[in-house]
Amino acid sequence: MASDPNDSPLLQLPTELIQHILSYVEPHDLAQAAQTCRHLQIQSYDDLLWQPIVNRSLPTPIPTPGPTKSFRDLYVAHHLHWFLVKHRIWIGDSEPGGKLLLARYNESTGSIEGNTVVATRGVPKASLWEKDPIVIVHSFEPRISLDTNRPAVKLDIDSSDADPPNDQPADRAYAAHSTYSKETLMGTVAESGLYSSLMLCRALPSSAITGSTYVWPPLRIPAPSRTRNVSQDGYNSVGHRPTRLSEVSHNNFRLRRWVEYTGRRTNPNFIFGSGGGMSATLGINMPYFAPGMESTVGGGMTIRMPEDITTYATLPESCYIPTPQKPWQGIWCGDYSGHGAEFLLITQPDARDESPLPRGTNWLRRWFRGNRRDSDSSNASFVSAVEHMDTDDESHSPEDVDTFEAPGPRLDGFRRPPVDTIVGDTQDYDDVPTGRLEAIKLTGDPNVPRGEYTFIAPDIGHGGFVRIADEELFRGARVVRSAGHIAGRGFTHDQYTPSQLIMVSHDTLAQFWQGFGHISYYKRVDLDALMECQ
Amino acid sequence: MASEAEQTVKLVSSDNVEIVTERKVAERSMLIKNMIEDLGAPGEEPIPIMNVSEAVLRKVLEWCTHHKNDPAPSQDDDADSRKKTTDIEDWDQKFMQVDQEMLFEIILAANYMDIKALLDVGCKTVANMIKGKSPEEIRKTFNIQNDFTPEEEDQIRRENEWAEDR
Repeated sequence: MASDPNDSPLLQLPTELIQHILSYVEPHDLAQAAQTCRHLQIQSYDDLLWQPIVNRSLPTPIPTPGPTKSFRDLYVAHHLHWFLVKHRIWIGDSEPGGKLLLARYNESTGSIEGNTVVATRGVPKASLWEKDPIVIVHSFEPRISLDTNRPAVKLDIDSSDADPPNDQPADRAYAAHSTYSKETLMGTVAESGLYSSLMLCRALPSSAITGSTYVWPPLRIPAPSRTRNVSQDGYNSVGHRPTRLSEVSHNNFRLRRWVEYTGRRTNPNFIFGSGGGMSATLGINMPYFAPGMESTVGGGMTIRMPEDITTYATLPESCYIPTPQKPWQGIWCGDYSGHGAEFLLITQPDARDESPLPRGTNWLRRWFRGNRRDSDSSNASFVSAVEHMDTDDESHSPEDVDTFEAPGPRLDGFRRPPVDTIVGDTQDYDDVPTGRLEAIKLTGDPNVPRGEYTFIAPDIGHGGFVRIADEELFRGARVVRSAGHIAGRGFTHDQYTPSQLIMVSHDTLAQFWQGFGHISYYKRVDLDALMECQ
Repeated sequence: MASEAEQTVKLVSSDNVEIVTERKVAERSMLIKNMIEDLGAPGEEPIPIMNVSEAVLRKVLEWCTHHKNDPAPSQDDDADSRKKTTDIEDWDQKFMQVDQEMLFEIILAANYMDIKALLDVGCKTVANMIKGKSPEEIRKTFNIQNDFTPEEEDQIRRENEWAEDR
């Protein structure tokens, strides 16, 4: 049937006006408009529309669609996954170490890749602190790079779908097959037999999140939305898997990794597709295999090891991009001696966004008050901010509130009582920074895992001021009180210990762990340089 | 000579109706602004707006009157405005509640008269009428005839299967 364009005022518009209109709709709407009639199909396929759509996810706009023949093809190839590149920074919940990924678009191959950020610590030089010769200062010049040999995420332009396991199709709790619930098999097969796939997440409504809900990112990391990171069914149920576009969270994703040995290369659809192949090969920690499962299907050709699912979350830029008022914000690399280098988020929340100080920091009240009884109002506001973070937690020992020293059993290395013996220039300037500075581990270690505070300086302004450094090493640096977070192996007996944060520059911090008699460094991670890393 | 703020200009619509308006209002249109500058003596010579009928011209001038004190748009605004289509201010939304014929007439007039902000509002309004709709709903909204052959339609559907929300 021939259409009479005179019937439609929209189609009568000059093409540049139709283009102008279409520049305001979303990619999904362009796909619908294309299916209405020939004229709008041609208009909706115009690459002048698709080039900015692709480029709005990229840190640097690209002039050509690379290996694809059009920007539209490029967009469609990764239509589910551009958000990974747009948010670039991703933190994984693997225990206890965690993982920090940088997601980038590879212009030459057309893939979306997520590489692990790695740091090598180098050989530290120990020197004695001129302020107190029993305190050791460890030098720290980490080399930070991306592990490009083994990408954690690699979504090729022709990534295939990997259907989610569907061993019990009758069970309605499982998410319906949809574009959004499918897993995408990744091109990360570095050695034969190592597979991985990416799955999308649903956000958990904030009303469903309490202090004890397992969510990622953890509550102390600012986030627009969070997802559950505990599942009894391998994240297969409708509660975890989105089935509509509107249900897809762009703040989270998950990676499934598994090892598989077969006689020949396995078609991923075979692995995921039939229930038999799956149930014959999966490990024992998978509850959905337990009741009524067929144990021997698929001929025993495939041996599959228990799999591993890691949930990732992004960080909102507002918490890590430095601003004139919050110059220390950023991703940092810290020196954790025997544990190596670890990555931290340093954030400077606005007073209205500050969460209550964590449990175990009550002694700080005394510490602050004891030395600065005559101090200004920021001291008082600090004290009132000390509350229990986790209200439904068990009772606290009385010492927790009243003792000057940090409570709990002494940990190895905690050899000196936390007292202020260091004095220097204690006259504070007028023009000083204000507010709280929080350092949260993005990667962790067996003592203090990822997601936990590593230190908090409750008031980097007058309230927490100790002195201006006059020793050669830190000359001119502002020194403020901070609470260092320590714990035994397995995050047992965690406690906050009196520390001093030496604010050497906006790119270098040092922490004097008073009880341990040593000073360790933190260095800012240059994200722009990492983005360019080959 | 009257100060610039009090000056008026005479506009003539395509159906030959003369409309007198404040110079400041009329100069929201870059077409008129340039013409006034070229003519040199505003107010005396009527300015023909050849492609715009009286009804549409009055509607456009209504918009220009409301927005006569808007600051000149900066370059950055343009890049931002592409991101969101729903951010049409309340007054403009009400202003755009007209029948489709008038809506497209306004867009064409804004384009011809070179009133960028009005053109953007008009195009955003149409974009919002497309958003979230199925192909059939879009056809219905804009009275579009499906001119695909069944083979073509099938082909196009497969090319856009990625966008099906299921």
